[in-house]
Amino acid sequence: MFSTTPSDHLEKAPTSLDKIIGASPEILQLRRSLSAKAFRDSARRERRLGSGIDQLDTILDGGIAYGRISEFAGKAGSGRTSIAASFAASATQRGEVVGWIDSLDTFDPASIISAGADLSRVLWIATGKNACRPDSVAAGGFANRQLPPLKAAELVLDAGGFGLLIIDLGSHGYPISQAAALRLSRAVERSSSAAIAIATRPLCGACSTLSLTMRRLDLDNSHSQRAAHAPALFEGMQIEVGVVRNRLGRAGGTAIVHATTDPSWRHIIVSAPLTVHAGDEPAGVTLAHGA
Amino acid sequence: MGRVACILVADFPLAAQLRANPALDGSPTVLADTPAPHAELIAVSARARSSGIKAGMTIAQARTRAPEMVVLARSAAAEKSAIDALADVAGSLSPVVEAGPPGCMWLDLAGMGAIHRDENELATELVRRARRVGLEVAVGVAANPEIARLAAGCSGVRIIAPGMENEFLNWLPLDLAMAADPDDDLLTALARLGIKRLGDLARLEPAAIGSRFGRRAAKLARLARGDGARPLAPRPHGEIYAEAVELDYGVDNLEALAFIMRPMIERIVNRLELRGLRGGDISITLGLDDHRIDSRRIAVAAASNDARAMLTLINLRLEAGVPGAAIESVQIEIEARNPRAAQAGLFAPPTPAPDSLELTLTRLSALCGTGNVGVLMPENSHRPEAIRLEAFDPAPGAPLPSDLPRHPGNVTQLVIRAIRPAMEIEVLCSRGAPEFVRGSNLGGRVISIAGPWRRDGEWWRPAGGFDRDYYELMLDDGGVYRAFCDRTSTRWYVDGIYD
Repeated sequence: MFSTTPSDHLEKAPTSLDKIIGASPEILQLRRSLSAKAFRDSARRERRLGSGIDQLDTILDGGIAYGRISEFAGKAGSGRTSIAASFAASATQRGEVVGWIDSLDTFDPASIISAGADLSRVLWIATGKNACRPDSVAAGGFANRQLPPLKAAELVLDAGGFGLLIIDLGSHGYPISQAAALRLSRAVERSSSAAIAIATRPLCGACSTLSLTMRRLDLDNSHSQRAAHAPALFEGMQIEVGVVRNRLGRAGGTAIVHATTDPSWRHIIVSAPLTVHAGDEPAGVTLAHGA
Repeated sequence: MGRVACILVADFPLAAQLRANPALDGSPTVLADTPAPHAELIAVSARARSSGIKAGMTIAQARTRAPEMVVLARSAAAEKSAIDALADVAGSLSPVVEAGPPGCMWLDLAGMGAIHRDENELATELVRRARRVGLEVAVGVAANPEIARLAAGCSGVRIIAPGMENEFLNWLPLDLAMAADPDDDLLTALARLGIKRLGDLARLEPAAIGSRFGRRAAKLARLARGDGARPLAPRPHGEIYAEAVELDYGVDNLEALAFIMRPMIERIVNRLELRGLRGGDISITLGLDDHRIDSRRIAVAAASNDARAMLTLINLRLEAGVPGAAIESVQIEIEARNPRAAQAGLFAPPTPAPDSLELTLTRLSALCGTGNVGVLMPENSHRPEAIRLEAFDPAPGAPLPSDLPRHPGNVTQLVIRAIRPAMEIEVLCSRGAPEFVRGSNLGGRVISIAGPWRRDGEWWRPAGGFDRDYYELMLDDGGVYRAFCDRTSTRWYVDGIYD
């Protein structure tokens, strides 16, 4: 039986080994790389899912952690779904499978595709409409009082193999009990999946590892007009992401993310802005791409 | 010399009924054509036999011996399900299976030696598997189907070793040999001549026996000589697994129906597992007491063998439209599907194992409804709300790329939260421009406007096309909404919020 690992031995008595094998630079470098702390740090860095947004990943020490719950809180329109979609895009680009629990049936596949996600690797689960009553569900799991989104989350996590699970609770103020939050966090930890909970306010309390708040900044620069008499373009908005709580790194950081709209859907521009009334003949219709 | 196994169910009509009504297992049960007191018993259970009840008694006579006796009528549906289950038991071990008379199934054992240590182990496995589908069987193994059937008729597991067939036939009493189709007159006539075993009959000429005692005696004489070798006629494998139950009285509530359906589904799942298959789409046929048939088909998101999830799916479908009358018969059919297999890569990110994913999808469908789980894709249309649902079947992940694409700077794509269906709103305009918006859970002054962007199309469809002017409206409630004016009806709708 080995009571200690080589790395433990190197941490406790580094000089004794130096006496035996000499202290050449290569050996010292190897010792550093084998130290337990360095190993833990490197493992921690490896097990993070980045968003692909430089500044955001910087304040998150590389991204959200696998096996932990991260909360994205903000009002509707604050940009929380866009940030979550960037993580989903990053996960599918890595070849991982994503579960998206859509409690309000607001999942828009076209814009998730434009965010860069491979939808064939995104399992959509709508718990909002036609979901059966919790007490009639034969599939085991949470107690009967638990919410369908949390039941669905537990089923997905139990399946294993999902890289990311997004639990979109939308603007509903679901009261998640501490017991339910703890149970969810344990399920996330067991599955080693990254989990994002989207809500108007942090719901998981101490069970979440990371808590981000999103806020839309002013829309002063959100419009542009490419030509006189052309309709105004909504270019997007700026999202301020703040780290409220981070048990694995620094808290208090802030990142400004520019969220831009997908111009491809504006395939026809009516060139007479705000003067077209229903029933009127348009003053002139030109085919153009919005961008 | 080939080897053949025979699976035999004693008192098959009664065994089929007990399989369909497992709650009666252990109680004195008899089978009769009608429940009238003078009706003769066709078969009796072991518990009833221990009370002194015998086949041939009338129900009234039997009731004097066991007042708590349960009288069952023959059920063609239950017998068919039991025959199919027996075929699945045989088919789970051998590819060549022939169905004999009801309750009898032969299987070819050629090549089975490589899988099973010996024939005794194989026969024991057959008994175990038959018990799993709710049937108690006897198994006989011999050189040809007829001798194997005679061996199975001796109850338990009987292996007739190669070359020992004549010894077995010589020993076999005539009443045992004719147990499947007894003929007391023939037995008495042969006994008068001192013929009590098959070996006694084998010493006589079959033609002479036939001319004196008839065709059945001649057949018995040929059997006694071991003339039963023939190749098996394979039974085709079924692709649909069905279980049916005929109820004594109408059931008019779904909770009681669920108690009836649950063992049926479990039996089908057991049969599917024996064949290494998974359950797919479900069809349920209910016979109502007003002579109507209520048929429903339930498409499942993924094949699985989770009986609880299947039952939940059926319950949800029945709750959506309750049958209009009491239910007198239930038939559940489940399509068989092959399980998926996938090879994961050592350096690829993990993906859900196919089996556990199928089970999860089924459970999620039971929780959320079948139309709410899968891959939501945009339709090939310019209507933003046009979406379709596809089955979730992710390919195994590829090895991780060394450098993942990154957004330049701090830019990401703005995502919209869809409002399905689009919510009608009231828009107050000033000089053609929206100025104030009011709707359900939505309202406020318009701070800024982008658009309009015109979208029209699908005018060629019978249902009519769409013709809309889209706007992006920023309201003072803090939201940026995507709204449109339907140019046909001049009504305003909001179909999403940027988030």
